[in-house]
Amino acid sequence: MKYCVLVLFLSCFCVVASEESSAKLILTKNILNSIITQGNDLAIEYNMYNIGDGVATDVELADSTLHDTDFELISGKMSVKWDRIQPGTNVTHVVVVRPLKSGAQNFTSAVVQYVASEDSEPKFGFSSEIGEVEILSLKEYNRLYAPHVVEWGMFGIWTIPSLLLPYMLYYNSKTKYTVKSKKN
Amino acid sequence: MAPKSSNFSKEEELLLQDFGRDLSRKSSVIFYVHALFVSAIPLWLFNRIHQMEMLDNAILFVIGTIFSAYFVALAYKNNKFELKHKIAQKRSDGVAAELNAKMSETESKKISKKEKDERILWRKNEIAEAESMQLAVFYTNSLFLILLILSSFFFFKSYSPMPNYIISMVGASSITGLLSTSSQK
Repeated sequence: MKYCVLVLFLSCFCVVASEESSAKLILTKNILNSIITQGNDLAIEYNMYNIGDGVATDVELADSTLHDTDFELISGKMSVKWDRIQPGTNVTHVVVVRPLKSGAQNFTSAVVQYVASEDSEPKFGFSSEIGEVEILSLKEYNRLYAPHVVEWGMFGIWTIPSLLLPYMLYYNSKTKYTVKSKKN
Repeated sequence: MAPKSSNFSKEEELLLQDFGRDLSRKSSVIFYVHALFVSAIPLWLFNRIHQMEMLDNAILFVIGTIFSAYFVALAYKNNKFELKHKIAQKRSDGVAAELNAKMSETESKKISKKEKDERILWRKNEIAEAESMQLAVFYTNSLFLILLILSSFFFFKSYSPMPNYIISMVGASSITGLLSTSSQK
């Protein structure tokens, strides 16, 4: 009798324990660039964290929000698979794209599909949204951030007849008539 | 009390010409050429750095340059008038020394003291006129360009190019002209 009660208790515990052993994935999507410019590479980082107790299997990350008409894929894949993600671990995936158009662009969520526990149905999750981001045109980028060394150098040359020449004429005259008074 | 008639004697006209605000034709031409040139220099910056096309913004550039040139020339005139008196006072000894060195002893004895003083005054005025013009051009141009660069590339950097040009040119030239109207007593 006592033995039956003990077996019954242990089996309940196992059932409870097996129900709690489930994976839970959190996906974040970030832009690594501080300035996003048309025609320049843009790095997008996906971080997947398994905060559950179980192993996540058949993990598939897919981001279909970066259309071919707006972005050119330079490096990485927009659809990636992992066999297993252990509990308490994370994986990172980086994609490099090149924006083809300037203006406001809405970066929405990527999707992850995974199997949380053995014999369970696949689960779906969405990454964090980046939101609307302004993509600068190359012209605007050069206007704001290029050093313009040549342009400032030429500006300095243009100012010679306006600044240096009048001052030199004044200084020569001043020296001539100041020196003479000191001599006397 | 000054006569209301405009018929001044030759001496009075010379005094007005030497010590008045009005400029000779040559001085006016020099000032307007300098003013147009210094007002046109920023076009290079706005074309190459702010990426403003010259043909697309030609009308705006012409109006802005002329507007700015007017106020810069006004500043030249005012600053030159203020500087001339200060410079003339400082050059008295030097000019007198120059003239005395040029005149021989016999020649110096022949001419009267009054004539000698007049020659010194005329020469001093000539030197002060030239120096005050050059210094006024240098000072006004420096002030205008510094104000323009500060407003266009620091204060209003984030503005789009056209408002940036309008505000910077109008602001820099107006402030330059306004500051020239103050007189230090």
